[in-house]
Amino acid sequence: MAMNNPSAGPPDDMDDREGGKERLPCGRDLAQVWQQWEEGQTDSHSRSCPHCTAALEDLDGLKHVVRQAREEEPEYEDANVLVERVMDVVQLELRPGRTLPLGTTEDDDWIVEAAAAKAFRAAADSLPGVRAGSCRIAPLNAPSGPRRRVRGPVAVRIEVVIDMTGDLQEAAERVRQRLLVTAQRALGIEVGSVDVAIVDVLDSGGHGERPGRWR
Amino acid sequence: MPAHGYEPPGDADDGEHRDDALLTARASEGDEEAFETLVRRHGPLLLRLATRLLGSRSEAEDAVQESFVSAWRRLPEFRENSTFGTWMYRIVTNRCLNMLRARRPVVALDAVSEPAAAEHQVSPARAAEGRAAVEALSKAMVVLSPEQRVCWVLREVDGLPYEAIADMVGISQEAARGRVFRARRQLTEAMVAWR
Amino acid sequence: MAVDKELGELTEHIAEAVAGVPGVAFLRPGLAGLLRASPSGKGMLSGRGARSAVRITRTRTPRSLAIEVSVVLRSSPRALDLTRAVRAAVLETVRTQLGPDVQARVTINVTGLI
Repeated sequence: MAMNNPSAGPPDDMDDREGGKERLPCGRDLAQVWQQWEEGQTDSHSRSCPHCTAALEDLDGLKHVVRQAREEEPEYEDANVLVERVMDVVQLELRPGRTLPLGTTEDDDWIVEAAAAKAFRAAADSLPGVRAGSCRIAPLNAPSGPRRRVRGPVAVRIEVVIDMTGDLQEAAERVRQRLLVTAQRALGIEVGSVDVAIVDVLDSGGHGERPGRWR
Repeated sequence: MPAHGYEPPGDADDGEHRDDALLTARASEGDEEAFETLVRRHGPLLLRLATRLLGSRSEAEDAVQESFVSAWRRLPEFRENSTFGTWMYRIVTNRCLNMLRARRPVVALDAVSEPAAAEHQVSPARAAEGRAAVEALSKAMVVLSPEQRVCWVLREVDGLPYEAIADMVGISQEAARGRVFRARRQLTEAMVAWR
Repeated sequence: MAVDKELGELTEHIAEAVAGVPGVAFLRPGLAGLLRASPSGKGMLSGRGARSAVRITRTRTPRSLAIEVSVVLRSSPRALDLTRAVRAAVLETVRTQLGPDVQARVTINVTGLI
């Protein structure tokens, strides 16, 4: 295929500039010819002109080979090796984060937020139709000094998705009670407040809306 | 399996996206099991993307693995203005782009993905011609710059709209169109020569 | 120095005693405390990691130690009961190794639940 303007210059520079338009011998801009065809807009010229049709055949031929190449690709169904390798690294990572007090103000036992959150989420997940999302825990009291960790009750905020019809406020309350029980029985952490935010509601059809929050 | 991996952000009607949002929130707070589910769910598609970009399955596995580990570390800063899938797509794309850049100058013609055993019901002659065409394409892709290659694969193989390509790679839409055009130009030229 | 050797040995004994407490999954350091940074940010589950999961410092009071232990616990029984059991094990170890005159303030950090 004859071209008026053979590619010149380093490819990257040419890519980002509008200069270097390639014109077919009929005068049409090759990039435009291709683009219009892709967008389903050809005109009588591009359909009949030998240069344009040749250019379009070339592009079509390229796309055909791409389709063939796609067919040859193996199915990537099994990500087990990938998962293993990724999780091996992830599980060794440490993350900075606050620790929360276990026990009373006299005790010197602490638990990292991620571990307590995990327990709270599992508790919420155990309720039918409830799925837990974000769970944050923070001391209610301000620190007594710059280097001291804070003892005292904590505030828990958990986001949940409720999959049910019925009273959402009641569902939120059930979550709250479950968390309070978990705090006492599974952890031993003093909880001052539980904020349950219902971030999504699913009916059995799977369509959702976003309601507000219940304290 | 969707036709392409790109999911427009904010598509809240898809149940799996909302599930991803839940898992992402948990993972960003240190929930490893949630993250494992995300890896399992998005891994296959990202492996396919990386293999298309790099032309090598084993390199693709490294790229995707490192991308996920990087994502884990950056999750606490992940904001919900895109989905986890789109975010990972962008991370993998850019990691592959950097790997391609580090490869230059390209030496070997090893940029051919390992061919699967062809079990198509076509005549041997046609199958051979098809295979030969694919190989010719792989060889032709060697001449593309990393930037051209990435943009072209995203456009032609993954079917991304130009706006998405621009967003993924961090360039203007115009630049994305330009790179795809230049890539097509070189590839059509090479394929014509092959024929 | 003899003192460092003593503390080093004490660390080992404490790690062993803590690992033996039923309900303790393993020792694992955390980045506990808002102001203390870990050098590498990566932890290990045995060997060097186990030792850094037990930190012993001398306090200004003579014959007094501050001991901080970081553990991953099983999800049952209650975390608080397990941490108290761990503390008891630590204090018992101190008593056995250094005698009844040494005071120890023990801090327990739960860095994970499995």
